[in-house]
Formats: sequence, C-alpha cells, structure tokens
Amino acid sequence: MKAGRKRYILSFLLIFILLGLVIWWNICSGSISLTGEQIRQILLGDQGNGTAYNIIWEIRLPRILAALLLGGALSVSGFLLQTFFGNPIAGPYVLGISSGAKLVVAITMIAFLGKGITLSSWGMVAAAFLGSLLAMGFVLLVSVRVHDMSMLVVCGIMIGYICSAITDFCVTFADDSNIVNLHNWSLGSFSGMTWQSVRLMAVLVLLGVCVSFLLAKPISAYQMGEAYARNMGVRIGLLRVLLILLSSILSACVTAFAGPISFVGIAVPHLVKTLTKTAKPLLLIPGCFLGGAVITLFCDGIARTVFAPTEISISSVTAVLLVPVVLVMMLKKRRGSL
Amino acid sequence: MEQKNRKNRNKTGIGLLCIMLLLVILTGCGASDTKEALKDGSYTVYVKLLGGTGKASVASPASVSVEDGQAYAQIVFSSKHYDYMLVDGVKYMDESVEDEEENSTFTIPIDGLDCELDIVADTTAMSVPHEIEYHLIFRQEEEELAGAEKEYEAGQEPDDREASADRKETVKEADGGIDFTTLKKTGGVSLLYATQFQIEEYGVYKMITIGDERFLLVPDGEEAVANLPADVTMLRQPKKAYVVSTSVMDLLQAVDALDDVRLSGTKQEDWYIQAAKDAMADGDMLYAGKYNQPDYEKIISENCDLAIENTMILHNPEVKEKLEALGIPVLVERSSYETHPLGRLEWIRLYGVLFGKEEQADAFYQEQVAKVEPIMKKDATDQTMAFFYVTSNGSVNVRKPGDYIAKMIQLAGGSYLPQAVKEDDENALSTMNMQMEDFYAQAKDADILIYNSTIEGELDSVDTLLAKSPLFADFKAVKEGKVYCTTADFFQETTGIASFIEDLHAVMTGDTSHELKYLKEVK
Amino acid sequence: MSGLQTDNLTVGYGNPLVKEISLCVRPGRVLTLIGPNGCGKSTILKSVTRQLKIMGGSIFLGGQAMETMKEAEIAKKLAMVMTEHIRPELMTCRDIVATGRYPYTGRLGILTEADWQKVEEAIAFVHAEDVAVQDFNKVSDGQRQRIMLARAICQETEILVLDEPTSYLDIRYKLDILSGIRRLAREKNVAVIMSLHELDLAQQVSDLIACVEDGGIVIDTPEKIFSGNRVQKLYGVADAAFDPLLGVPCMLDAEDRKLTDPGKDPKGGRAPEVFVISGGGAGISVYRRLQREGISFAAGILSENDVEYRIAKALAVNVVAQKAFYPIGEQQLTEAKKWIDMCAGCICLLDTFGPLNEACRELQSYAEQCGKLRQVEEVLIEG
Repeated sequence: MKAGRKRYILSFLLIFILLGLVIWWNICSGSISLTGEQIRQILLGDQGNGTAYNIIWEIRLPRILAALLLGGALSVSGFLLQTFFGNPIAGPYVLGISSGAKLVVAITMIAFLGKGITLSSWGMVAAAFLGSLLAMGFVLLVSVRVHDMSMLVVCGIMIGYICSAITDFCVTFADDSNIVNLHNWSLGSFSGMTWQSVRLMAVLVLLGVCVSFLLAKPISAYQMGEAYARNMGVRIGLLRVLLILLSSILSACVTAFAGPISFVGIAVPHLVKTLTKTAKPLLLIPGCFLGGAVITLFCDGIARTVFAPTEISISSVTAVLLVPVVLVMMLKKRRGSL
Repeated sequence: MEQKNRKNRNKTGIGLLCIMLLLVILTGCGASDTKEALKDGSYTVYVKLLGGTGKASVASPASVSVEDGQAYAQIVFSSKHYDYMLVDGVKYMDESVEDEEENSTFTIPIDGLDCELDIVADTTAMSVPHEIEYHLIFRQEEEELAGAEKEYEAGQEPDDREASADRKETVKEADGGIDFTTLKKTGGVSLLYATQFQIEEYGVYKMITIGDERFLLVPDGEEAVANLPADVTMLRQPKKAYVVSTSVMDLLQAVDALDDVRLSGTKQEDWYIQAAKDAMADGDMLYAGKYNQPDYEKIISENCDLAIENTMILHNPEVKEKLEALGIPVLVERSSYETHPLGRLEWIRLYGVLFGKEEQADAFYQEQVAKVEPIMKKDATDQTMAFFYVTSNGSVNVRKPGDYIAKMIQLAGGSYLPQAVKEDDENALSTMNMQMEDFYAQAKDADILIYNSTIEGELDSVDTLLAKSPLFADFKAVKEGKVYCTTADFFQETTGIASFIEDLHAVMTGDTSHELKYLKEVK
Repeated sequence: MSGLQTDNLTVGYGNPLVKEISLCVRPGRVLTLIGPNGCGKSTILKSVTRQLKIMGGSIFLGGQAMETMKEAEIAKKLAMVMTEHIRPELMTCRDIVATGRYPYTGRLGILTEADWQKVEEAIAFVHAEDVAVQDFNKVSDGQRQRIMLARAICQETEILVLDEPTSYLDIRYKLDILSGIRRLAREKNVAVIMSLHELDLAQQVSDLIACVEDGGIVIDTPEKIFSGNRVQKLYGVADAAFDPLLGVPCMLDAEDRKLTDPGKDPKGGRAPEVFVISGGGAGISVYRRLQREGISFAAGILSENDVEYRIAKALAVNVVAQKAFYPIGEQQLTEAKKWIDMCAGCICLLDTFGPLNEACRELQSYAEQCGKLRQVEEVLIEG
C-alpha cells in the first residue's frame, strides 16, 4: 500500500509540473514574441504596454484557460464512459453527443444565416449545446428501459448515424460557404476564446467534475460489475442516469464552445492509468482532469505555433500525437498481462 | 474600451429617456395642441426654409389648400434643380415643367396652417444627386415666422431628429470631443444602384449604415465625437485596416487606398491583384490568418484600427465579437447581397468615404457607369447565356436568376439560363446546385456557355469540359464553338464589372474587335 | 427471526420457474441448493440478491422484509459470491477485499484504520496473505474465489449467498473454499445459502439440503436426502449411477449387467470373465480398471461393511457377500466357487487373510486347483 501511495504522489507531482511548464510555454509563445520579464510584469498587472497587455490578457490567457478546462472535461467524460461501459475505446462521443451538436449547428447555420439573420456567438454555443442535450436525452430515455448497457453503445452509434444522415441532407440544400464553415466547425478550435465564455465554461466544467468526484465511491463499486455494485448498496438506476448526464454535459460543453475535439477523451484515461497504475476513481477523476488539461493545452500550443499564423486544427494534432502513444501502451499492456 | 464607455452611457441613458419622452409628448409638433378642424378652401401661409447650405429658399407666401380637412401646401423652391422631396418617408416629385425652366414645385401635406416639419430635398445641381435636409416653418402671421425661426435655431429639439426605434438617446456630459447630440444631419450620399448601405452627412462626419450596424466616420484631423447612440460605432479614418475580402481589396486599390491596409486575410500567393501581391512581397501588407481563425496577436500588435469582413464572418460570430472586444471595429460589408452589379461596384464609394478618397471613388464609379450605361440602353439581343461550373460530385452549380452575374448578362443584352426554377429571393444565397440532366434540359440550347473558373482554374480546352460530362457535346454552344471561361482573376477584380459587361456584350454581338479582359475563348 | 427467510417466494424470468419457495436459514447454518442444470438454483439465488425481480412472495433478511429496506441497509445484511469472474482494472487483491467495506465507509469511500484492520483479518481468515499485493487478474482462479470470499467476509453481514462458488476450481481450492465457508458459518455466525454441483461436498458441508425439482423445492437434512434413490431421481440418472452413502457417482455401461443366479444364462448380458477375490479396499482400483477395459467381472467374498463392497456392487456383475459382522460361511464359499466356475479367470488381490475371511484363502486355492488363478497383470493386459 505504501508503494502505491508513493506512486500516486509522484504521478500527481509530475502532472502538476508538466501543467506549469505547458502553461508557461503557451503564455510565452505566439506570433508576437515577448520576453519572460515582460510577461511577468504583465501578469502582475502592469498595463504599460497596452498591446502586449491585451495580447496576454485578452488573447493568450483566455485561450489557455479554455484549453485547460475543456481538455479536462473531455478526459473526465471519457473516463466515466469507459468505466460505465467497461469498454476501453469508449469516448465522450460514443453516445452520439457530437453528432447531435453538429446537426443542430448545421441547421442553424443553414436556416438562419441562409436567410441573412445574424447570430451572436452565444447563439452558436446554444445551438451546439441544444444538439448535444437532445442526443443525451434520447440516450437517457433508452437507458431507462434497457438493462443491457451494451445496448446504449449501439444506441449512441445509431444516433450518430441518423444525425450525420440528416446533416448531410441539410447540407445538400446549403450554399458552398455554409458547408465549408460546417466542416471547419467540426474540426474544433480554441481560437478566439473570450473571458465570458471561459467564465461560463468554468462553472459548468468544474461543477461537472466536482459532482463526478463525489460519485467516486459508487463508481469504484461499479468497477466490480453491476451485480456486486448493487450488492454493495449502489443504486444502479440512479448511477446510470447520473453518469450519462455528467459525461454528456461535460462533452456538450466542449462541443458547444470549441467544436468536437477527438481522441483526447479516449486516450487520456489510459495514459493516466498507466502513470498511476490504478483505476480508482478517487484518484483518476482529478488525475484525468489535470492530465487532460495538460495534454490538450500542449496540443493547442502546437496547433497554434507550428505553422503560424495558420492554425492547424486541434483534432488533427491530438490524433497524430496521441494515437501512437496509446497504441504503444496497449501493446505493452497486452504483452505484460496474460 | 469603447464598449465599457457605451455601457456606462446606457445606464444613465435609460433613466433620462423617461424625461426625454416626457419632453417629446409636451413639445411635439406644436400644431397638435392647437389643431382645430380646418375648413376646406384655399389659404395663404408664410413659409421659411431653414437648413442646408443656406443658399436655397422657398417662395413665401405659399398657397395652401384644404380638402376634407387635410391641408396641402404648394412649395416653390428657388432653383429648378430639385427633382424630389421626401416628407415622412413619402416621395413627392417635382411638378414643374422642365422645358419652361420653372423652379421646382412640390405639393406636400402639412398639419394645419401653423406648422413646422423636416423634409429632405434631392438636388441634382451637383455632379452627383444629393439629398439635403431642410426644415420648413409655416405660419399664418408673418411676424411669427422670425420668432419661430429663432426658436428653431436656438434649441434643437431632439424629437425633430429621426428617431430610429432602437436608438437609446443619452444626454450625459460629453467627455472629450464633440457631443453627437449637437450635430445635425446635413445631407446624404444618394446612391444610384446600391441598396445595402447608406451614407448620411453630419457636417464633416459621415454616418454609414449597413444593415443593422452604423458607423460614424471621423475624417482625418477632425475631432472625435462622443455621446454616440448605442448602436453607432465611432470610426476614425483607417490607416491600418485588416481586409479579409479579396473583392474589397480590388476596390481599394482602384482608389489608391492600399497604403492604408496593413493586414490581409489572403496569402500572397493567392492574390491575383498585382498591387496586393506586391504589397505583401514588400512587407507592407502582412498575412494575418484566415477569416475564421485570425491571428489576434498580430492584429493588435499592428494597432489595426478597422477590420473589413464579408458576410462569411456571420458564420463565426465569435470572431467578430472577439475583434470588437479587443477594441477593433468590424465592418461587415454586404456587397454580396447586392443584386445589381453596378450596385456591387458602388461600394467603392463607401470605401472612398472611409479612406478619404471620395473624389477618386466617385470619379472611378462614374467612369464605370458611363461604360455600362450605353450598353444598358441598347436593345437586348436574343442571345441566351449560361454561367456555371461542374462540382466535384458531378452536379452543376449555377447562379440563381436574381444573382448579380445573371443581372450582368441581362444588362449586357442577353438572357440568362437557366430561367427561374423557384424564386425564393429571401434567400441570400446566390448559387444553387442542379442535376446534370436538368441543366442539360434547360441550357442545351444556350447560345453561349461561360464556365466559372474560380474553383478549379481555367478550362484549357473543350475536351476538358466534355470529360466532365459527355452531355456537353450536345450543347448548341459547344457545337457552334461559343464556349468561354472566366479568367482566374475575375472574382477578385470587382472593379472589372464594367469590363466584364463589355466582354459579355462583345461576345453576344460577335464583336471581335473588342479585346476580352475577363473571358477567354475555350476551343 | 434472524438469518434469511423466504415466504412463498416465486422466481423466474418472465414465466415462474420455481414457485412458492419457503425456506429458512438461521445464522450459523449452511443450506445448499442442489438440482439439475436449469432447474432454477441460480434463479433463486439471483432473486435473493436482487439481480432478478421476484415474481411473488417475499424475502426477509434478519426478520425485516427486503422490499422495505434501503439499498444501504441490505448491503449490511447480505453479501454474495457469484460464479462469474469479475475483471476489474488495476486492482490488487487487497483492494478487492477492501471493497467489502463499502457499506461502512464515508462519502468518498476512504477506509479508516479500523476498516483496514478488518480487511487484513478477512484476508487472514481465507489464508490469502501471500497474494494480497498481487494484481487480481494475475492470480489463479482458486485464489480469486478466496479473495471474493474474503471480500464477502469483510462486508460483515449476517447472510452470505454463494452461487456455485467451487466451479472452475481444483480439489484443493474446492476443499479450501468450502472449509472456509463452514468456518465462517460457525465462527462468525453467518447464515449461508449456496448452490453446489459437487454432491459429495454438499453432503459434507451442509446443514440442510434443498432439492430444486419440478418447479418446487424440498428441504431436508443431508442424511435424509442422500439415501435411497432420492438424488438419482432428482438428477434423472439410474439408481446405480450414484451412491448416496458415499456421495459418489458411478459410471455404468448401457446394458444392465446384473445377474443374480450363477447358473442362469444372461439374456443380452455378458457373463463375467474374471472373478476377483478381494477385500479391505484392495479391489477398488482393480474394479475400476476392469470396468474401464470393459471386462465384466464378479467379486467376492466381501463383507457388507467392507469399504469396497458398495463399489463392487455397482460395478460387478455380481458380488458374493456376507452380512456385516458375520464371518464368511459355507454358503458364500459354495456360491463363490460356482462363480469361479463360470469365469474364465480368477485373480486374488489379498496377500494375507484373517480369521473372518478364511473362506477367501480356500477360494484362492480352489481357483488354483481349477487352474484359473491368474496374476493381476495378465488379466488386465488381456482386456
């Protein structure tokens, strides 16, 4: 037990150190170069150089915070779903959340903007959120009636297909510019985050993560299988609903503010489990949140800087970076076990 | 930031709005209190014209006739150059007989014999027709005229100004700069073909209205203006603009305003406009990222003072909001919503105003209009023309019949195919996809085919077209060898609209002496 | 009324499978369910552990009706060990046992010192100290079941439900688990209800046996159930296929090879080829060998209380026997000689003879005289 505890402490220490490093790296990098000393001054509130101050406070910092929060949200969502389904490739979008969001965003773009009615950015956020919640509502309805949880994955996949089909149908009637924009939206981006978005995000994400943390005990019972969990006093029906709700709201948040970002939710729980060598929710929920934050921010930094001023889409970066890592891990695990 | 100021103004504004309303109700148009039922008949009333440059006047006394209780005044101006008047949004045409050199005369309704009202009169005295705001005072007693005049000059009652429904008036003390509420509208730019923007003049300041947004332009060297209504953004003449739209760039280079553009949304290699290409090569213009993912850091470090975006930005409202939050005003140009090609071109006058190159802009525009109007006046030919391209999944993308290119074809004297399939003009889209078979059915007898080269590049030969679909071999235009494609720079060079119309006309009439600028023959 | 009690419980998946079960297990007692596959044993246990909705009747835990109890209360009253293997990720055996403390820990499920103490005790109880730190998925099946039992112990409940806990286990772990269960019942006063396929072990470990048959349940002591042909009827096998006294199943050939009269010509049956003189248990392995090789045989002269008597009775065509506590007499000797006459060969497995089976020595010399006495190896190889 002692060895385990030491490992946990070291792992979290490592994550915090990486977090600090990656935040500093992101604050310092961008198309305008500022010295470390300048940045330090600005962070302490020196408004002297208005432009630099704006760059740091209005452009870089909101973006950094958004990447941290949303990356953490995705990872926690992925962890919850992987535990719930006992499936290592379950991710935040396995229940069809991003497809639902994409559908409503597509309809919004085509219907409103096609008629020349302008929407504010909150309108787009609301549209994506609505789509996610509709998908989630549908899944919840099914989950109440169905006892075999693998049916839910099927349900999620079906929703994904239906939403994609309807989206394609709408796209047929759309102008080329709308299609381009929809494609761009579905790649996901942290560009142009404002403090208002960050505030709202923070409330939703931190709330979701805290509630998940408080559910650590029933989730760890659930890891023993439904039968034993019930025997230990867990209210399975309620837990199911809560897990679906939480993971959906977390991933809906991400989809609404930044578009769908792939693979982070699937990969990070595996990475954190490998690091801490445990699957205890009490440790993994904060671990995934922080780990996901670090990784997403890192990827966003790369997306921003490698080909500046052109931005690579964040989903490409996460996929390219994380897929090999997870593959290597899974192979190692295979060799190790059995 | 400006947003914060505006927010502060809002708070006090709402409180004082109530007081304003009270005043409005009390003062109103004075005649409302003293209105009595007028008897039908003719009257004589003294009238005074105020406003404008002060050189114009109106004949006094004027005759007023009352029918069914409604009074009508006959106004005779001191010049013959007024072609119409606007009273309460209704247009009244000049009644004078042109040949007899009479002065402009109008008959307008008035609220009783003692009344005042604001009117707009359009003068053709200058090179370009011009609307001027005036104030008319009617009094039965001549002595009262002078008094009324003095009152008017002294206290501009707020309700006399146009009240737009959602404007929130503020009366807070001006903190630096001229108080907007003291400014009077002195006229406006009358547009020939454009419908998507308006420019009104307030002395040296220009109020630009595009859709729901309004900007008050402060020309170089003038004082800033404070106490603007909530929906108006103050704009100084831009020196470091960020221009996203390629079509705008072309208009700017035509008025020699490229020096005031610092950032572009298109990369150097993607420019066809040589001046822009050169500017980027020289480092005078920098690439600042795609319109939906701009490099905010670069934009604010270059102290950009205006972003000119096109309607694509409406799909990414967060970009517009972010730029505004950073203190950069965003002007969304809506030239793509113009249905008349000359209307599209007329946006050059807006940019002329914006960048302080009004004369050049107006001159250029007149020149282009002069090129096109002769063609417009000619009889239509019987030529039919299709304008299209084949998309990657085999359907044909055509312009909608209300689109500006279709209009250009009509102006040039031809008719556009395909004809109206289903007119839903409310839709701001200008193109639509059709099946190859439908296109074949509708356009196979078109005299001329024009292929849109923007997406895939210019067509090298007719064989390339046939490779896209064998049906093309059956088209009349293909058989007769009248296939053309647009040049690659066509869409970027908005200034070439007139030339394009000339090209179209030449192709339609078979005029081989005209050198085609934006069309290429495809053999 | 403590322990587990059911009142007219009806269970099934949609259609009632077992109806009106009324059973009662007091703390310290072990009740084992036996019955053929599909009869409903697992269904009953799943219904008790609420994995399945009950179709009628009610269940009482420690005197309280289960419907009225909250999940958390039930968790402190009833623990279970199921057949299926769980596959938890990255958990050590100790972690698994620790989950048993779940109903007693606070909001976040963190165990106190006292809780860890109980965990250690439970691990010690099942003698699983050496695997405590290993990954659960890496230890053997038997050790896993031990750990699951420890987990249930840790849950400190009045009632323990086990569904075929010894499937997949080798003899060592079977005995291990069942002795653990026995100790648990006795020492910790737990009411145990479980299902087993191993009838011999069921006989040894249970206080009560419940036969689940024909949609109903019959509960009685092991002595009563394991007698006569109750069990054979329950499972639908021939009477001779199972020895209820020893709890041992016997493989039989399809034909009935029983003959009662040495002179009779067996109709359709085979005459014995070998006569085995044996006693004291020496013959058991030889009987089995002969049966495997398909050599029919007769055996004698055995006393009915000889340990190999029952097996000989099951496997041999005929056994010449004498009542218990009676010396072997002339009658048996004569009978045995007749059988030897019938057989082709004879083997004697006894080296020494005692006063009670002098007759066997005579039999041996008789066989020798007849020239039928063979060595064991000869006979066996021949088959």
